[in-house]
Order: sequence, then C-alpha cells, then structure tokens
Amino acid sequence: MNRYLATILFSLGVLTIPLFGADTGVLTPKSIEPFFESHCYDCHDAATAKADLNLEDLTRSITNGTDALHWQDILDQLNAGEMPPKKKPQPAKEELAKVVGDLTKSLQAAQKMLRDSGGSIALRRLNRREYETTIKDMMGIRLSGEKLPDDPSGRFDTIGQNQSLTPMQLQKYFNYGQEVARTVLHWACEPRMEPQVLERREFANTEGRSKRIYEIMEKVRLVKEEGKTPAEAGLTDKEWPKYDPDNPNAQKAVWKGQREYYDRNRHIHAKGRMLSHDLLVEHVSLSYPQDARADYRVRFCGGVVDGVSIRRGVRLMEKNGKLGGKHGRSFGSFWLQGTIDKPTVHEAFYHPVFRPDFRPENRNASRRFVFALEDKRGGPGSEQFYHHYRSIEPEAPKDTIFAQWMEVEGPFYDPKSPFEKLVGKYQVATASDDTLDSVAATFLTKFAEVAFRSSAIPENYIDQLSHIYMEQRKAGLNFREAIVDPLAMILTSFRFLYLVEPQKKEAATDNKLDPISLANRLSYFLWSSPPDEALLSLAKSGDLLQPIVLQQQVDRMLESPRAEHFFAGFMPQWAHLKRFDSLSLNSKLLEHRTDGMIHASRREPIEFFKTLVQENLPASHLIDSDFVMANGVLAMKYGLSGYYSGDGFQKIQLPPNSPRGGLITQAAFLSTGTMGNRTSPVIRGSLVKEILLNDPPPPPPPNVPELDTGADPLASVRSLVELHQTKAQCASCHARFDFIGLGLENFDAIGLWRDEELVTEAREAQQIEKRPKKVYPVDASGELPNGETFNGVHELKAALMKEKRTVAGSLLEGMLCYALGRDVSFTDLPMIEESLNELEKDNFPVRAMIKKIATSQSFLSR
Amino acid sequence: MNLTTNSSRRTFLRAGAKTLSLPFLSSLLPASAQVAAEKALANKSVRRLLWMSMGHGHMEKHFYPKANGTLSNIALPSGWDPMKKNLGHVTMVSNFTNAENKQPHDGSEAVLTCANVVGFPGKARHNSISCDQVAAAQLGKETRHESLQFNCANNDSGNGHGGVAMSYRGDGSPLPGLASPLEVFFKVFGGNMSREEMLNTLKQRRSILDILEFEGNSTKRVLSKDDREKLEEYTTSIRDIELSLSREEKWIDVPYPQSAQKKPPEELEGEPEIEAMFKMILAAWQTDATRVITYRMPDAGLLQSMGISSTPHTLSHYGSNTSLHDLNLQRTKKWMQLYSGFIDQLRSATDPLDPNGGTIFDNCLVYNGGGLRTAHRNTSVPCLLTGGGFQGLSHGQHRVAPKENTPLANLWTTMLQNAGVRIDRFADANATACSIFKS
Repeated sequence: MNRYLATILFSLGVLTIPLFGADTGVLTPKSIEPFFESHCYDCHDAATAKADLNLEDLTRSITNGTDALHWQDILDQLNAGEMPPKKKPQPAKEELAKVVGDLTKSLQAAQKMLRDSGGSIALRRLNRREYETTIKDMMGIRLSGEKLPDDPSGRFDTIGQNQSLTPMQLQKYFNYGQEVARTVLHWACEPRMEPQVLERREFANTEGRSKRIYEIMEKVRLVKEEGKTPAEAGLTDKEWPKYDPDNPNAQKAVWKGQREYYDRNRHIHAKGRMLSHDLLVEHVSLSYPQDARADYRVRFCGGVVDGVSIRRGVRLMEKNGKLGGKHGRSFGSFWLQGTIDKPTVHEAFYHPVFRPDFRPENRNASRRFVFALEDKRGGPGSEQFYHHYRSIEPEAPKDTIFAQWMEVEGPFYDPKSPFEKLVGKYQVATASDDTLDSVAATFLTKFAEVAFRSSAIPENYIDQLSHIYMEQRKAGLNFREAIVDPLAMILTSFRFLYLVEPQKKEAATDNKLDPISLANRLSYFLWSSPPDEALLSLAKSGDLLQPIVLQQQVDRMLESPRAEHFFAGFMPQWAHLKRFDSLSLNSKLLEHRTDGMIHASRREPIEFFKTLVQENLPASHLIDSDFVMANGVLAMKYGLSGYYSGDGFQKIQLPPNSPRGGLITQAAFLSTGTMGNRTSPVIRGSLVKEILLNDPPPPPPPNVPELDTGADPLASVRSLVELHQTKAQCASCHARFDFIGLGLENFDAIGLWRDEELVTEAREAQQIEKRPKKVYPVDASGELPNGETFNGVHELKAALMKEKRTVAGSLLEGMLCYALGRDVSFTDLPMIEESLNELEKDNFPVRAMIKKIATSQSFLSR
Repeated sequence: MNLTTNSSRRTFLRAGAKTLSLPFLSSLLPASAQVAAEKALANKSVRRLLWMSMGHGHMEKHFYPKANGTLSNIALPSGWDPMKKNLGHVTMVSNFTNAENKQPHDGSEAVLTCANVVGFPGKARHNSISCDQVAAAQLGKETRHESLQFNCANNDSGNGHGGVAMSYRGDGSPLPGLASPLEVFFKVFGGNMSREEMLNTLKQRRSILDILEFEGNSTKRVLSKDDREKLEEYTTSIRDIELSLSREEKWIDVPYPQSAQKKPPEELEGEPEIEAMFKMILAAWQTDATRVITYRMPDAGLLQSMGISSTPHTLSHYGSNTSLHDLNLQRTKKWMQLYSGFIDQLRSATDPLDPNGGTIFDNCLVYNGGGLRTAHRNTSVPCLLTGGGFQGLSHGQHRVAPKENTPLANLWTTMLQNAGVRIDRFADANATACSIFKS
C-alpha cells in the first residue's frame, strides 16, 4: 500500500524527485540509452557481454538494493573515468556530464526510496543533549555529557533509526550514571545559599608586578648605561645575575613588555588596570565558590581609551580543562561603551557546566575562575600565543581597554527538582542511615516514577534495587554510598534511556499515541527534556488530546525558557552549522576572528530562529529579513555599531540596502562555507541548495579525476571554482550549486563584507605586505539551479524569494524530521502539502508550522 | 545440565572456569622455565597483529614511490626522509584497493571490513565484521583480552576516518575502544584490586546486569514489533557484558602484570599521545594482554600538536595551494618519524614468548595505512608493512601487485593466514597476497 501511495504521489509530482516508474521503482534516466548505444554496447550487449556485463538486459527500473548496486557500479566507472576504456572513443564532455548527473539523481532517489521508513518511527534513546537537560530537570545540576556515548551521525540527533547500542556504550551509561548519582546526592544535601555578591575585585593599584619589574629594570639601566655597580644601583647579589641582560636565560622580552606597560599607563594605574595588549599575562580575573545547581551574574566595569572604535570588545573566558586566561573557553563578550573616566557597567548571565564528578569537599575547595581579556583573535590553543601581530586598529594606542572592577553575583537557583525534593523530604542530609534504610525503597520508587517518565514500574523491580542497596549496606557503606548503584541502574534502565511509547493493550490496529506518550514526545520536541507538571496533568486527564489544548501547550512551551533547547538543538543541525565548531581557520591571518566574534557568530542563528518562532514570522525571513539579531561585537563586525552596541543579543532593524538579513548572510553560515582560510562557494552553494532549496546535492563520489593543479597559486576563488566545469564528472553536479555560492563572494572567509578578494601566500597578517599577493575585484554573479541568473547578494536573495514555498517546505520538513525522530517519508507528503497550502496565505509563519507538526497525524501516532 | 536459562548458563560458565584449562601463564611469568619449555615444545612463537589507520592519506609527491624495487635504491619521495634508517625493515605495497569503500571522506570505517557501509539496506550505515575480529576470535583465546582497539578522542575532527571505529563485530556493530593511553594502561595493568575485591565487584556487577535485563525485558509486552529490535540491542549488550565478566572471572587467579612504566598522564594530545599509545602497544604485547590490536590514529590531534590549525580534511583539499602542500609534507614526515621510532621500539623489545629469544618485531605483523590514498581517492591505498611475521617476506622493498585494484581483502587474508588464523578468504578477497611477497 505504501508503494502504491508513493506511485500516486510521485506521479502527481508532489515529491521533488518525480522519478518513480509504473512498477514503483526509480527509473533510470533516458539519457543513458543513446550513451549506452554509442559507447557501451560494443562490449556489453547481449551478444558480447564482456566481463559478464550485459547492459541491455539490466533493469531500467530500480526496485531493490541489488539493482541499485549494479547501477552504482556503472556510475562509479563513469565517475572514475574508467569506462569507456581509454583506447576507445571518449564521450563529449557535455554528453558525459548529462549522463553522470542524471544517473546520480536517479540513484539518489533510489537511495531515498529504499531507505524510506514508510512512516514508522524507530524507538529512540535520549541523545546527549537530551540526557544532559533531563538530568538538569530531574536532579537539578548541569553536568557535561562529554563522557556519554556519541550521537550517531545523521540529519538530526533525534533520529532513532540511526542509533545503535554497543556493550561499551551501555557500560559508559552505567559509569556515567554512578557519577551523576554521587554528584547529585552531594549537591542535593547542600543547603541553598542566598544570592549575593560572591566576589568583587577592584583593579586600582594592581599593577604591582609590572611596577616591580619597572623599578628593577631602571636599576639595571643604571648599571648598564651609567656604569654603576649593581650594589650602588640597589640590586642584591641574588637579583643582579637573574636580571643581567647578558644572562642568556634572562626573560628580556617579558621584562621589556612589563616595563613599557607600566610606563605607558603610569597615569592610569591608580584608577584601574589597562588590559595589556602584548604581555604574556594580560587578563583580569576573579574566582568564586561554585554551586553545580546555580547560575551566576558576571559584571565588569570598564571603559575604552577615547577615539578607539574597533578594539572595544572584552571577552569572558572560563577554564578549558586546566587552562585558563587566553587558553580558556569563551562564554560571552562585552562591548564597552564607557571611557576611562566614565566607565560603564556590563553584565552577563553565566550558566556554567560541571564535570560529572564535581563534588568539592567544601565550597572553597574548588573555585570557578572567570577571566576578562581584550577580545583578540580567537581559535584554539597556540594561535593565542601570537601576540606581536599587526594591530587591527593601527591608530589606537597599544592598550585600549580599562578595567575598574569585576564581580560575580549568585547563586541563582531554579525551583527544586524532583530529586532535590525527595532528598529534602526524607532528610537525607541529616537522618541516620538506619532511618534511611526504612525509606530507601520508597525513595527509589519515587525517583523511578520520575525517571521512567510515567511508564509503569515493573513488579519486583524496586525489591531488586533494594536488595542491591541492602547488600551494599551490609558491606559497610552508608546510605549515600549504597544508594549510588541502584540510582545508576535507574539511569541505565531501558525506560529511562529510551523514549518508550507503550502500545495500548487492546488494539494493534489503533496507532493513536496515548496522552502520556504524546506529552513526552511534545516535551522532547520543544524542550529536549521531560514534561513539566502542567503538561503532565493535561496528559493524565486526557485533555491534551484536544487540538486546541495541544496548540495552547505549544504556545506555552515555546514561551518558556526551556524552549532554548529546541532553538539551540534544531537550528545548528538543520543549517549544518555544527561544522562551525570544528572549522580550521587560521586566526593569525583572519584578524577579525576574535573569541567574542566566534561566540556571537555561533549564537546568532539560534537567536534568529528564536525570533522567527516567537514572533511567528514568515519562513522567507530565512532568505532575507529586514533585521538581524546581534550583540555589540557582531554589530560592529557587520558595520551596524551605529544602530546597536549593547552586550546582549537584540533585534536590529537594518538600514535600507544592507546586505545582511536572512540566514545566508550570517557569519556562522558564511564561515561554515570556508575552506583553508578562503571562501568556498562550493560549500556555501551546496548549503543553500540543501537548506533553502530543499534539494541536497548527492554525496561526493570518490576517485573523480583530479583537476589540473598546475593552476596559478594566487588564482581567485572564482577561477578555481570554475575549474569544476572543465571536467564532465565534476560539472555534472557542481553546475547546480557552485554558481549559487558565488553570489556570496562579497563575504569573506568569516563573513565580513568585502569588495575585493585578497589572495596571498602569507600565513600571518603581518606577512601580507611582504609575501606574493594578488587582489581581484569581487564578481558575485551567479545562477540558481532553475537557470535564473543574478549579480550580487541582493539579486541572489531576490531570486531565492521566488522560491518561498520551497524554503518553507524545507523548514517544515526539517522540523518534522527533528520532532518525529525519523527522516521524512513519502507518507508525510500529503500533510506537508496541505500544511503549506493552508499557511501560504500568511506567508508560512514559523510558529504556525510548529503547531501543524504537533497536531499532525504522524505526530499523534505511534 | 540445562543450558537454556540464564542461571544455568552462568553456572556452566562458572564451572567451566574451573574445569577448563587455565590460560597460559607465560605472559605473566616470562622467566618461568616451565612455560618456556612448554613453548619450546610447541617450537612456535605466537604471532601478533596490528592495523593502524590515519585517515586522509598522503600527497602523491610526498609519499608514493614511483619505481618498485629495493627502497634504498629507488628514488624515494621526501616524506620518507625520517624513515631512512629503517628502510630495511618496512615494505611498501601498492595496487591494493578496497573496492567496496564508496566514501571519499571515510578512510577507516570500512578499511578492515571491506564492506560497503552506505549500500542500500534500511539503515543509514551498516558494516560487517572486520578482519581483526576474525583474527581475535581465533588468536584471542589465550589472552586476557581477545583484542584491543585504540582510538583517537572523539573531538578529533575532519580526520578522514569516518564512522566511530576501525573494528566491527560480526553483526556490524562498532568497537570504538579506548581513546586514551591511560585507559589502555588500566586494561593492560589492571586497577590494583585485590582478588576478593574483584570477586565482589564481579558478583555485584552480575546482579546489576540481571536487574537491568529484567527491567528491559519487562517492557517487551508494551513494545511494538519494530521497537523490540531496540530492546534486543539493549539486552544483547547486557549479555555481552556478562560474557566479558565471565572472561574476567576466568582470569581472576592470574594477577595483572606489574608495570615497568609509569601511568601515562590523563591529557595527552597529538604527538605525545601517539608515542604513548605506541608504548602501550608494546606493553600489551610484551605482557601478552592481547595479540590483536587496531589503532585509529589522531590525525587532527597530530596536526594541532604540530601547531597547524588546519584539519586533515582541509589539508586534503590541497589543490594547487602550495602552503597546504608544505603542511602536508610536514605531516607526512611526522608520521614517518613516529613510525620509524615505533619500528625501533619493536626491534629492541624482546619477546618473552619467543622460544628462540627473538624480539617483538620478529613475531608481529603490522599494517600502517588507511582506506584513502590521497585527498578523496580510495584506489591503491597506502600500505606500509613491518614485522617479521609475514611469511616469506623480506622487507626493504616496494612491491606492486601486478593487477591494479587488487582487493585489499587479499592482503588481509594473507595477514590472517600468516598469523595462524584458519581462513580461506576474507570478505571480497579473490586470492591471497603471498605471491607478491615472494617475488
């Protein structure tokens, strides 16, 4: 029946790939026939069948995996240039490109058809994100899930079909569960503190070290330049050998830096600290006692030297493993408004993440460090060592940023989690172990109820857990130690790890989801975490099954701060921005790529999507919008400092003719389309084709003949991209997306505007002047797959705007796939078409789409 | 004895542990005269297998010799410079291709399985058994661990490995293995527990697994038919862990070897990490903790530790970009330097199980390469062989299989056979590779 439906839908042209044939297979392209005739049948017809291959006999309708593999082999041969053999006449470039392109499309369609789930949703496990948020929700602490099993690769981390479980992964879950149990017990027994300023540091007169070095260097100067003895100059016998500039071990550069820093900022030290531009130690920091249940506010008071425009950014860093300061990890930035005499106060909300074994002996045993540094080039590790680089703002003085004070306020807690309530109720912190023995079983029952997400607890299960607990107690462990394994077992149980949706007893024919399972599904869709009490009670009463109630819940849930998990979980995956985090970009060369910029770029698409959802804006905003979401750092990089320069993200109305707006002009999107420090129209184009035009290019084939690498090493990106058109095997696919990406050539490797492309062999910004280089004016003309040509980003967006419905369909399919945890199936097509028809009059508003999904038959069915 | 229920199966395994012959103790008591005699009687050294993969391969001009013949006589590309002193101990093999690998970015996922992981059946990816696991099933009986898998950290991005592992079990599920030298250290040298503690832990773990299995199975009646597959996966994992507990129990009376080296530090990355892993391979072999190892090496980590900010994938798009060519050469040289250092260690480590007093080198078969030749090509993959376990192979040559795209599985078949694994053909092999060794 499914296949039958598919035939109808495909023949109506509902699917984007109308290739299904009469016997429900995928038809091979017509263009292959004349090609076989002129290039293949000499050897591979029924009469000759060289290498046992008779192409005449081969099916022209791919209905199963074997057919597909046969045709894949043929495509591989053509792609690798193995067939026709070199000594035979070769096909013309256009002819080969056409056949390769058509056959690739057929096989892509066949792959899609053969993998189609027919609408059935595979039972799935919590992915890493969901595990983390679920622990936070149930138990109240925010732990890093880095040690949990990896999520499988695939379109979304919610797709159950792609998941598998190995014994080692199961062991990891158990080991992790033990850590979680110990850590939550530790914290749940700690009293909550009143929020207060935990630590405040004033930076006036803290130039100590540089002052000391300055004074010693002055004495050294007396010895070296004025012929005094070390003793006369005031240097002790210990000091002189150490600071003697002739000593080969002397850290001359560091001392020189310290001395000059002290000297040039002489008039400021009494007011606060200048963040030094070129010293090895260049940050200010503070530390505070941390609580794994809490959030904090970080405040920084500072200003900038008059007249400075670019170097106004401060990055906030936390430790990265054991490394702090510039080796740390950025978690935010400030864009300073004030001056040295009139400093301004900046505030950021900080949600720290903890190691699963974070159980300090006391509050001061493990303090958290927060560092504030000038927002300079970011990127991993050693790039940061490189501080003697060309200044990004040559006219500014060496040090531009002034820090007056910094403070941390907290802890701010969420309401108590179910686990914390249990610990409070049974007085785990204070009660004797014997008392606790009598409540252990109840404790475990109550927790299992929460962890199983309302799934029934099997009979005897708690008895078995209690048995383990008692065994441990007999072995001499106290309650808090003996309960660890039983808790870890609950956290490794099938009902916790898997989103079990129980089948109703009576009817195998009725596929309708029960209200509790629906609540779970909805909650993991919009919150990546379990339902709250409000949702659960609507499920228990059955009211949730009413469409009106369901829609109200969608609204409520999207307004909740927990919806952040949907915005941040969906958008980067849908737009393939996950790759942004593993980009290899050389920050020595890309001087605007600061930590603050990286952080803001990563955040922008999420904030943008959030706005589309919360304001129910049309999906076409993904192509172009009259606003951007940015913070001060990003606004400066986008040339919008005149419109907004605050610390948090805000909607900035764009001036007319701004090239920004939409998804494809966002820094994260553009830098994801970067390769080896140069723009990659290939990646950018294929991303636009997949994300917006809903037509993913086929995966790249191996062994395509190399392009001529004798090309000019300083060739423009455009000329390199155009090389693809010289080889039929490349041209067949690349023609469909390279030219989209070229429309974005006005944006450089990290997404900043440019009118010229600079190509250089330099590896560092300061070498650019000395190394061979060429400059090309940007040519941003291109073409969409439908043949529409354009010139520049404005025309590209205008051309894409004609594909509004396609773009909306792409977003709808993406969210459906994320929500259901399976790839879109042909069985979804009627719903997608109907929804788009209904939403078209309002220009496909995004929140309405989410409601369509939540009330769709697929979402309401098992 | 009824073997159909869990408890009786366990009883059997427990009884089995007592009645089955104990594993060889020789590994732990290398000086023991008795064991030496036992070995000498067999007059056969054990064979050890190692496969290592690095991902995206090397550039043609830096790594692949144009001529065949004696390595010291032919013109070698500059990437070989650090290998100069060990040229006599390696063999370069060309023309082997993993025809089933269709993935231009995934050099390690199918290199040992020779499967088409993106073929057409229902799942997004599926694999089949890897040759090291075929070997482990036969060669792993006498060692504490049937086989060990070493891996790079999972943040090693753009490394061209693909998937999550090199080794795959019979059902195609991955064996990602140990991602740091420290984890390997504990596997080889144990966690310093007393016998009683270990017994208690084993007992406790068994009860825990029983309850996990009970809870999982209790969902069965509310699960639909399709969902039961996932449950099956879950309970199979539990039973597999139980089996490994049985193996641990069988070994409980054999103390872990004493470590001659210090515990490696927790956070190693790139070059020091690889060096530490090489040391662990030696340790695992010298203590006979296992005889079959695979190592999925951290190519991205290596680049980072060399101060190169590009990922291996970026390096693989070298095109005509000369600065990327330079970086590729630096990396090829670094790999060759590390590999040469490893060969030195193999050659200087005595083999406690060798009745003739040979070295670890004499008794091992090592493959170093991967499923991608250069950039995104998967034909004629890199194959560097070392070790004295290859029958009839004298090292120091570049040997070229007469036919282009000879199945890589032929080479695996020969390695397995040489190591004493009874197998006719592995995967899509159509012959063995021994003929080219003897030419």
